Amino acid sequence: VTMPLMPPRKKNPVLRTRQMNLPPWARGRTALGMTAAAAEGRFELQVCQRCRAVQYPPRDACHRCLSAELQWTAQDGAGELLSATVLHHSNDPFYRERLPWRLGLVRLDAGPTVIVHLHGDVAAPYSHEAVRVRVGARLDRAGAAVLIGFPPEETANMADDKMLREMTVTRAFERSWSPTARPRSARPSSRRWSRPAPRSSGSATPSRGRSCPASTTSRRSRR
Amino acid sequence: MTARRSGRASYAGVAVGVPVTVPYVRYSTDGAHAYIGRAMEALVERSGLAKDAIDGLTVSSFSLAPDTAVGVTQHLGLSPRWLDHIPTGGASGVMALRRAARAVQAGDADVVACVAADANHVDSFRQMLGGFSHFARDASYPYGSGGPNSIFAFITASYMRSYGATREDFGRIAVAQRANALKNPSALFKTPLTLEQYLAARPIAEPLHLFDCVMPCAGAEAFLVLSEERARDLGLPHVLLRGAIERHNAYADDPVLLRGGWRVDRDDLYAQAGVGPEAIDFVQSYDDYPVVVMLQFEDLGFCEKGEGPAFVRTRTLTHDGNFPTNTSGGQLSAGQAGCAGGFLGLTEAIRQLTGAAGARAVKDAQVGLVSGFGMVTYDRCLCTGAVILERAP
Repeated sequence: VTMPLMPPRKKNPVLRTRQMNLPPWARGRTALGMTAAAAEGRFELQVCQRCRAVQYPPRDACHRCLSAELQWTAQDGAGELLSATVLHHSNDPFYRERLPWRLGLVRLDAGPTVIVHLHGDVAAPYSHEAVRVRVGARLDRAGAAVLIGFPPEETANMADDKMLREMTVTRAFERSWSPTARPRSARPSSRRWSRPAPRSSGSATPSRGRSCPASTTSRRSRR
Repeated sequence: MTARRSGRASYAGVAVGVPVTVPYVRYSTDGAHAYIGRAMEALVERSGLAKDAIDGLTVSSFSLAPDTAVGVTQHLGLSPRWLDHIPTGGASGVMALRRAARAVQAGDADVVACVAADANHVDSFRQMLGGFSHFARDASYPYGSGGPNSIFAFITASYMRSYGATREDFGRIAVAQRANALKNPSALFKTPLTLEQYLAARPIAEPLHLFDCVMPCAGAEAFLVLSEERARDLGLPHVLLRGAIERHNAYADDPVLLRGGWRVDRDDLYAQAGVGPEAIDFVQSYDDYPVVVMLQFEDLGFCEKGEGPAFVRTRTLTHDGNFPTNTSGGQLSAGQAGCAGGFLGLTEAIRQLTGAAGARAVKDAQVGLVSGFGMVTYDRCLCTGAVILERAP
């Protein structure tokens, strides 16, 4: 079960600040088709217009019949989790800062095997019982599409999953360090997402509230 | 898929010799050309041949870019009449040997130098992973950037779930190979490894832990391929090539790799050699991860699919054991110098079959099997290959 997002603790100024970096953004021109669809909230893979084979990773020719007519087509993302791992080491600075990191290998019902970032509410397959997942495509912080393995049904606080928050831009509990940031009072408040600010005697205390994480909520409804 | 062997010519008359290892170092500012140069220098010195007498060259390297093998010819002042570039990682040794053997048989070259070398700068491993293949860039590197660790974590976990393998089973492989490495002066790892240490190691990509993973390093491996008569005339210790197979992208519809392409062609391999698995005195299997060693025991016919765990429990894999495997220590304990990792088993097998293996010699070894496994472009390793080598009479 996903832990609901809690207000962050005060930062220890002695500790090293996490680097500002982005996940690997390089993609080939063909693969950008997945990003184009994800930007509009859809998970699409190429489907061969001659033999209907579903392709992944993105290709320039059908792996079954060699046709070049591959059309991006919406997928329901249903599949079985074949294997899962937790990375404790990464070669990329973005992930190095965010370890441990869960990944899954999913056989889509549509055919291909896909590597996904794995939501915390999906259990690793330990027995021979099949673990079902629903794969969705999301834009990561670098603006490229990544595939995410979600639990097949909605779970509590699902959008607060640590991996999901690291992969996306969310304004929840952001620190107002930017000189151009609007004061809290000027931000739109949402009853559903707001939470009482901690009481303090001085009004100058910066409040740590929760602004509306539009990306996270829309993400949930788009699934 | 079925193996076809109709009309295939034998590899008779092909000799392989002069195994060269350019010592591995963890990191080096030297480039691939430097390591290829050292390997060529050693081939020339140890064969007694003039540099110009080497008229064929295959080069295997990931860190040579933007050069290919042809750039190496000018860099080293070579003028071969036969040239190949085989950057297929763990399969490059078997593939280079196969091609060189045919060139020698056909007379396209008299003496072929097969060289694998890779540099390892401080950040070059990360850069290689991110740009390893189109599929890796699009569909695996953005997912945690663990490189092959994450792929083989999936495969290992899946294998454990399917066939009941435990970490102890994989540990037996790693521990035995370390024992072998302690008798190999070229191995990077110099200290013993116990099963307890193996099990207590830090996790890298669960269920893989530290000693399941190879250490990337810089170095080179090389050997010469020439005709049996020529090798005899030169007085070079050599081995004979009895059979060779390769296969790419086998079992592409398997959702996760639990069997490799060796299965498709193994009958062909043993038929060429005229021996069965029981006649093999040692195996130099590709060993980027212990699970891969187990897969090869199964897929090369030493045991049935799924019996790998029981097989390693009942065998001793050290050079003096009853199933000598990766007698150099393998990549797990000698280090993985990029493409040279695909040559390591071959140079070791040549040493074993020419009486040059020193303290780690396999007693009375006559026939050895060397297998290769290379190129994780997305979710599995694509190239498989194997050769059977025999001690020259």
